[in-house]
Amino acid sequence: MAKITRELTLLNKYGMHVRPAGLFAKTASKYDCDVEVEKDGNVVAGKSIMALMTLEASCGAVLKVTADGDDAEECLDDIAALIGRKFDIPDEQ
Amino acid sequence: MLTIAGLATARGLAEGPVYLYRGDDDIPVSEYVVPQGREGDEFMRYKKAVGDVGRDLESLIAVLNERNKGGEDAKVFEGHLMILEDPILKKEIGKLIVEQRVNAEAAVKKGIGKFRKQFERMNDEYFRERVRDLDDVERRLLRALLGFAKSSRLELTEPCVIVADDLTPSETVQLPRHLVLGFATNGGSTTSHVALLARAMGIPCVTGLGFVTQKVKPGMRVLLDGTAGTITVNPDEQALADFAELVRRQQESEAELKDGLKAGTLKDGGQVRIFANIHPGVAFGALKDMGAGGVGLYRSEYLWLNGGKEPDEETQFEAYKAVAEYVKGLGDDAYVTIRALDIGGDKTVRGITVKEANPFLGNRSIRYLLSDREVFRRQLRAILRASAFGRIQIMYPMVSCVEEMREAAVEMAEARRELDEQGIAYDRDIPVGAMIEVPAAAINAKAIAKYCKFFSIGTNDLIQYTMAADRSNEEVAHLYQPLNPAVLKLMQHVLETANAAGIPVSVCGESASDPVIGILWASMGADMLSMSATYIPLMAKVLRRLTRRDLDEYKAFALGFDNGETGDEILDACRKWMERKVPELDKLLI
Repeated sequence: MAKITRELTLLNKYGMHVRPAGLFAKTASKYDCDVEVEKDGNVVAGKSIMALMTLEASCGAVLKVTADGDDAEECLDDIAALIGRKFDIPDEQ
Repeated sequence: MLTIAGLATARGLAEGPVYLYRGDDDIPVSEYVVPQGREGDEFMRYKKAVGDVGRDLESLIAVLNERNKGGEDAKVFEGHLMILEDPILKKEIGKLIVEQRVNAEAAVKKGIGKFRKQFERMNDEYFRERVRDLDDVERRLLRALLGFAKSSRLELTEPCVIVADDLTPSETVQLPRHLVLGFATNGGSTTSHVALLARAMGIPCVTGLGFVTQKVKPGMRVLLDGTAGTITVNPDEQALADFAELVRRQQESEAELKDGLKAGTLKDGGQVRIFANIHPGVAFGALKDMGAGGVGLYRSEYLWLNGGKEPDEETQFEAYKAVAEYVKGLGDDAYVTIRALDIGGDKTVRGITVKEANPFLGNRSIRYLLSDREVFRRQLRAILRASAFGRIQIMYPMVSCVEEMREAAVEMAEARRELDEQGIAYDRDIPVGAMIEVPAAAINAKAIAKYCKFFSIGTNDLIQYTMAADRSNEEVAHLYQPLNPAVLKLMQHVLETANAAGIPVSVCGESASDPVIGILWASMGADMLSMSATYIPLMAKVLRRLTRRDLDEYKAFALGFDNGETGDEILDACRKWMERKVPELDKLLI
C-alpha cells in the first residue's frame, strides 16, 4: 500500500471546468486507489466530476493530489501527464 | 379533423408530423414522503431514469460525432453524461431517497441544487456559467422521471412542425433549420421573437393558438398555413387536397417574379428600395434570391443572445465583416445597416442585463451602451474595422434625446482615434444614424437629425410606446394599432422632417412588410423599406402593380381621415383602397 501526494499546476486556459474535471475523474476512476484533491484547504474526491468542479480551480492553480492504494504511483503519473497535456483540449493549449 | 385559428405570423405552408416541444422553463416538481417500505422502488425509479437519460445522451453524442467528428457539441454532452453518472451526486440523491424517503424528483432537485448553490457562489464567471450544465442534466432527469417527452434541439430526427407553448430566441435559433417545417405556438403574437425568427428563417409560423399543445400529440400529421393563420390536426382527404392546391398556387405565384425586374420596381419604372432585416446565426444566402437590395437592419444583439455573453471584438468583427462582404453581391448601391446592441426589454442575457421593474422603460439599447462604455467601444471598433471590407452604416437603437447622440459621438470619435493610432483601416465616411422608435425622438426629430446621416424608423417599438400597449400581451394587443391617427401623425412628422433635412429615412419595423402599411410609409416619404426576406417577393409583386401617382393618391387618401376614425377603421379603409387598386391582392397574399 502506498500513499503519495503530488503538487500539480493547472496549465489549460480555463482551469477545471466540465471537460477537464470529467477527464480527471475518468482517469482517476481507472485505478483502484483512492484519489483526493486539495486546493486552498478544500479536499474533494478525485473521482467525481462535480466535486472537482466545485474546487473553482482556474489556470495556474496548484492542486495537491493524493492517491492511496496499490496503483497510486501509476495513477498519479497518468493524472500528471493529463494535466501536463492541458487535457488535450485544442483551444486551451 | 380539427382546425384551430391563430395569428398569421410568418407566411408559408407546411405539412408534416408534430414535434411537441417543451421549453426550457423550470419543470415544476412536488415533494412528498415515500411510504415506508417503498423507498427501494423509488430508488429504482431514479436509477432507471439515470439509465434512460444516459442512453439518450450516448445516442445524442453518437449523432453529433457523426455530423462533426471531434466537434465541441459532443464534448459538452460527454460532460453531461459524467455529471449524470457522478458517484458523489448519485450517492447524495440516493441517500435522500433511501434515508429520508424523499421522492425521486424532489431528491434530484435537491441533490443537484446543493451543487448549484456552490457554483453560484463562485467568483469566476466562467465557473458560474457551468450551472447551465447542471440545469440541463437536471431537466433531462426530471423529464425522464415525469414521463415528459424528451426535449432537445438535437433530438429532431425528421422534418417536423414544432408545436410549443412559446419559444425563446435561443431555443428558436438553435433548432436545426432543415428539420423545422413550421412553428405553431400557444402564446406569442405576430411580433414575438419566434415570429421574428421564423420570418427571418423563412419558416411558416402561426402563434396565439391558445391550447394547441393540448390538442396535438407527437407525430400527429398537421397542415400549417402561416398565411391564413391556421393549423389543421389530422386532416381528412378533402383538407389534404385543398392544401395541395394552395401549395400549387403559391408556387405559381412565385414564378411571376422570375422576369429579372428588380424588387421594388413600380409599374411606371419608379423604384422603392427594399432591403432585408437579418441577424447573425441565420444564413443570409437566400437574400439575393428574395430580391433584397441590401440589409436595412442587422440585429447585432443576436451575437449576444446566441452566445449567452458578450462576443469579443474579434468575433464581432468577423461577423460584421462577413455581412459587409456579402452585401457587395446585392448591388452597387447595397449596404448593411448594423444596429448597435439592442438589448434589454425582452431581450435578456444572463450576467449582462439585470432585472428591472419596468424593463421596456429601463436601461436598454443605447442607454445600456452609454452605461457600459467598454462594451460600446468594443462594438464600435469591431464595426469600424469591418467597414473597411464593405459598405456599413451604424445605427443607434432607442435614441430618445440629443444628449445620447452627443455622448455616442464622443465614443465614436474615441474609437476612431484608437484605430488611427493603431493604423487600422476603416471607412472614414461611415454614416451614423438613429433608430427612431421612442415618441420623444420622433417628436424631436429635427434636432436629432442634426446628428444623423440617416434615420430608420422602428415601428414595432414606436407603436408600442405611442399606444402604451405591450405588443405581446394578448389582452391589450388590440391597442397596438399601426395606423392609429397618433401613430400616423408621428410617422408623417418623422418622414417629412427627414426629407426636409435631406437625410435618407427607412422603415424597418414589421409594419413595413405589410403591403397595405409598408407602401403607405413609402408613399409618405420613406426611401427604403426593410423587412424579413420572405416578405420581399410579396411586396415586390404589389409594388409592380402601382405607379408613383397611385402612391401619391394613396397618401392623400390615408392622411385624409379627420373625422374621429379609429386606427382599425383607417387600416380597413386602406386595405380596401389597396384591394381596389390591386384586385388580385388576395391571391398574391398566398
